[in-house]
Amino acid sequence: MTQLVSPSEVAFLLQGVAHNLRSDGRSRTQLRPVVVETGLVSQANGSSRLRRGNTDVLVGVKLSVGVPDLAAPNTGRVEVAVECAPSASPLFEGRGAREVNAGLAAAAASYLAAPGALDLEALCIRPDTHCWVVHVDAVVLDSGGNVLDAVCAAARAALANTTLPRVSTVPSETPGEFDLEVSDDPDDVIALDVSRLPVSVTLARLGDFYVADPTLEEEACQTAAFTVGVTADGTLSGATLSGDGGIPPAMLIEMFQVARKLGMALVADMNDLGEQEAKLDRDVVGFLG
Amino acid sequence: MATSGSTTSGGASQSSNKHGEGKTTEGSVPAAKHLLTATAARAKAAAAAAAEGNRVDGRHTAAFRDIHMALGLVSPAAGSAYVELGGTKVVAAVYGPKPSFDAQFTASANVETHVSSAPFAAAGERTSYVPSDSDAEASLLVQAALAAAVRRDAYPKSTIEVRLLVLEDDGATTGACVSAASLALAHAGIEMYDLAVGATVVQLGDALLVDPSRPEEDAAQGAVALAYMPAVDELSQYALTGQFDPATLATATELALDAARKWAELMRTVLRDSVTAQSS
Repeated sequence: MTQLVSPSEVAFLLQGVAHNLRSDGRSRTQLRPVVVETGLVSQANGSSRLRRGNTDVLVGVKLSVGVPDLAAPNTGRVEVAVECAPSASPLFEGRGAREVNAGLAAAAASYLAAPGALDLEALCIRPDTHCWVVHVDAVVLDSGGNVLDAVCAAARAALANTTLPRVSTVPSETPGEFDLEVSDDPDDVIALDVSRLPVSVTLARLGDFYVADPTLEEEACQTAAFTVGVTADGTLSGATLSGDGGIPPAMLIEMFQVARKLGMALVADMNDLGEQEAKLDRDVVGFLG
Repeated sequence: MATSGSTTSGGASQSSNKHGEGKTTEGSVPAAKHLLTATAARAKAAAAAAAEGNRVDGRHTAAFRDIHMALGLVSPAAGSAYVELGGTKVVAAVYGPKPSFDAQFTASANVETHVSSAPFAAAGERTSYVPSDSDAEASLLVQAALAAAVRRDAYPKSTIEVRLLVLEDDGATTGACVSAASLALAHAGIEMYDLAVGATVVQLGDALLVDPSRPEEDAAQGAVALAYMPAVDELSQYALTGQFDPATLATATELALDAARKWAELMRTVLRDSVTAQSS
């Protein structure tokens, strides 16, 4: 998902970064503003759309009933899939796209499905036999850089918007098997608790400096990128280094501190946006408008 | 990832043991359940020991296990290495540099890494030869760790293929893969900026344990798995799983860096000895 960039462009970008002035006017540790809407997809149990700069992600959450893992019979699970829509960029096509999608899905899952992020025991319907499987599907409609952070933030908003139907099991006619009973009342639902779900903050190393929330051009010049998951109370919930270069340990420790501050602010902002949206009494008109 | 294989958190999308909807086959469940019970019991024992500040094998919390390294086991490969880190056993083989036949010109080499596990390598059920999701994830992590270490600009239009086979997973596997691959690359004569060395630290209760065994990894709340290049003082890989507060994280990172530096010294000795053995 890199775009071509000339050596002069790289030099221009790096010099700007050294002066704490990026091409879009941001400082090195400034994130792009986020626009998020939830509840757009009526057929999904939860959904959200998030725009950040030119990056546009739509997430739908669908629930299914599955069998718990043998190793964890009292829990449900979360499965994450990401698809970069081929319409979004000529780079998102064919074999390369499959690897990009798998990489993004694995990275997003390491934050969303991490131990302690969601209460997986609340997803258990009946130990050993029935559990909820939460399918988080992200579609990247447009890529303006830093797709991973947009996917994680959008998924967090969609999960906050997700409700589980109240379900109980009753013994069926065949002995040893169970049927599911769903409540008839569409408002008899349980909301997912996302208070410990992290957002991710990506910092890209450009020369001797690092910038938060890189754009496509900045990603093309980066030596390495460091993504950190941060929860509302500042706990660091997962981190990965990507890219073909390295980062000195001293810079890494600094990046942790910066990411933590930015992450906590982002979570607070997104919670605020969620509350504001809940107060709006609006008709959802137009999907991509 | 440090906590791949038999995770105890209900499994993310990478779980290769998931059953999905429908019934499981009657025959596999008792055998699998027995192995899982044994694994869970070992993890509990590790957690109990850590609560008292000890480790099941009697090591110090900052000590790594016995390391055995051998070079040149895979004859058709340009370079190869075998690493044993306690019970974890990894074979690394390097093929190349070979020409890449991609349509696009690349000014620097493509370091392609494939990690696969033997079906009997992990605790729990037998895994198939088809690479699992956790193998694919490990491949990406190890590839990023090595890409920073290799002098890729010296091999334009080429591919350097690194193949890793995990024979037994007894904890700290990704770190062992990175170190084995570095040894194999050096043995193959590929130009590198430095050796990339893997080190893992887990948090079990209040204790930080360096180079965890499989039961210690299973019982851990969080892990730091990194790859460090001591001579250039750069981290080429850093993977954090679980939830940490910043102070504990800084200590864990320092412990892992120390372990990596010590292992780098041992790796250099092995490489030097192999060169002197060849020339004598």
